[in-house]
Amino acid sequence: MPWVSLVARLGLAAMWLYYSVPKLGALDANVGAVKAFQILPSSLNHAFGYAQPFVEMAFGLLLILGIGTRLTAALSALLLLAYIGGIISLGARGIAINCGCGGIASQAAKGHTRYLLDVLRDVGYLVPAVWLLWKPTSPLSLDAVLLPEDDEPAPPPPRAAASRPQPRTQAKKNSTTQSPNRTRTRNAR
Amino acid sequence: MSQANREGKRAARERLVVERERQRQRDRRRRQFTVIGAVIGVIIVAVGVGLGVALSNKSTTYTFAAPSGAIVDPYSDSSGKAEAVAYGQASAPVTMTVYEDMRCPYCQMLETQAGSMYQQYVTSGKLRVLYHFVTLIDSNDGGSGSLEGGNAVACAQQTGGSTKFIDYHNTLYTNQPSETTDSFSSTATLISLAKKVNGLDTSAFETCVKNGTYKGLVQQNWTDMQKLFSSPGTPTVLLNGSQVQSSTLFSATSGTEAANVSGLKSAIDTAIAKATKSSTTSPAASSTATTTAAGSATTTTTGTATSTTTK
Repeated sequence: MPWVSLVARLGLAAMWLYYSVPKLGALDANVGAVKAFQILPSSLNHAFGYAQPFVEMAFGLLLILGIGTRLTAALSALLLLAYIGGIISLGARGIAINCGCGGIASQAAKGHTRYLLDVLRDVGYLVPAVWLLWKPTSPLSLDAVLLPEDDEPAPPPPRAAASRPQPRTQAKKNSTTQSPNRTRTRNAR
Repeated sequence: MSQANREGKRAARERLVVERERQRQRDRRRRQFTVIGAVIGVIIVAVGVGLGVALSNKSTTYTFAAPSGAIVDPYSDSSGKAEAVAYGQASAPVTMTVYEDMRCPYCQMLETQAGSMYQQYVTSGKLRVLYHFVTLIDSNDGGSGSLEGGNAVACAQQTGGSTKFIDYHNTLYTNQPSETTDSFSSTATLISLAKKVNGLDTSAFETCVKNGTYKGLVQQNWTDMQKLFSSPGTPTVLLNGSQVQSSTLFSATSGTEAANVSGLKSAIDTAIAKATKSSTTSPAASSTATTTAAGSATTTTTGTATSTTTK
């Protein structure tokens, strides 16, 4: 399971970097893409178009480092949901643009709009994000170093533990700092 | 006694363990907050960088300046500024107002396919074209090719006169990059294209292109166009002030769009007939008419236009 999380984490990171890096080279074009969606008030298009690629890149870097994976995955999922909503609203309003996803939006002939595919693609990107929400712990991450056993509640207090058999069987996975404590508890008995 | 002592030791040990566990959890929570803080911090920095770049890139407003030969368009310039680059004789019976963008693919379609046709009317003294260069594509797609390109053709008008202006104007359309490739934003590209027009690439021209002398003119045109039309599109063509329908400018035949050369031609013919109230409207009939500077321009540009492949 942690390896699946690793793949999900790096995959999601790669997705963000893949889409953000070209946008960083064409920020004005990205503003154009944002405008083409005709969702934001015109005064915000500029700011959003400029900030968005940087935020996406930040998500990518945070995921590669594996820091705050669950939070970053949650924010990634929210952003993806916003994009999906945006694309659906384009289809609903009958605005024909070449989706603009990943950078350049230009008015396209009706046949070129493929909103369904774009929505499905973004839903596909949601999969690793949701997986990471559920199981954020993965090897080769800063989280594993800073916060071992991230996806578990705090272990029961030792007093209770002493009177009952250890309820937590999977606690050993990553818990290098925890094990010595626990052995000492047992020794003390 | 020993029993109590053992109990005491055990209690102390357990207290120590509990304390240690609490400490561990406190540490963990602290690290958790650090991580959350780091994530939020990184994202705030990312937004900040983006907004910082946005502010520093915010388009500047340039001072209005008009090249020699620019006039106030009687049909569209509400600002009263000489913002239209005039091509043709003032005595021509028909004035064709053209709003165009040097980056716009439909303008390219019109200019490369119908350019030689309407420019022949200019040669024969029947038509005067008032060019308004705007920044529609810059505004839609981002970039600055419309602004730089519009400035460059105005520079050609100022430093090279009418002949070189129209020749350079046509050259830029022939060599227009695809809409999303903003190569006209590079003054070096614009200057190297000027070398295709004999005698245009002077130091005065290069200085003008690099300094963006007429960027204010292009911005003024775009501002005024947005006031004039509720949804401005390029090209927009008026004949003596009445707008030419887009079906007259372009024909859509089974998906392949092209300039409607015959449609525009007959619209011009009609306008000339109406203005002169005479029946001799064929440009061939009047091709022997006096040739101005515009005349020699047309001969050079015809070659450029016909060699262009359809987009």
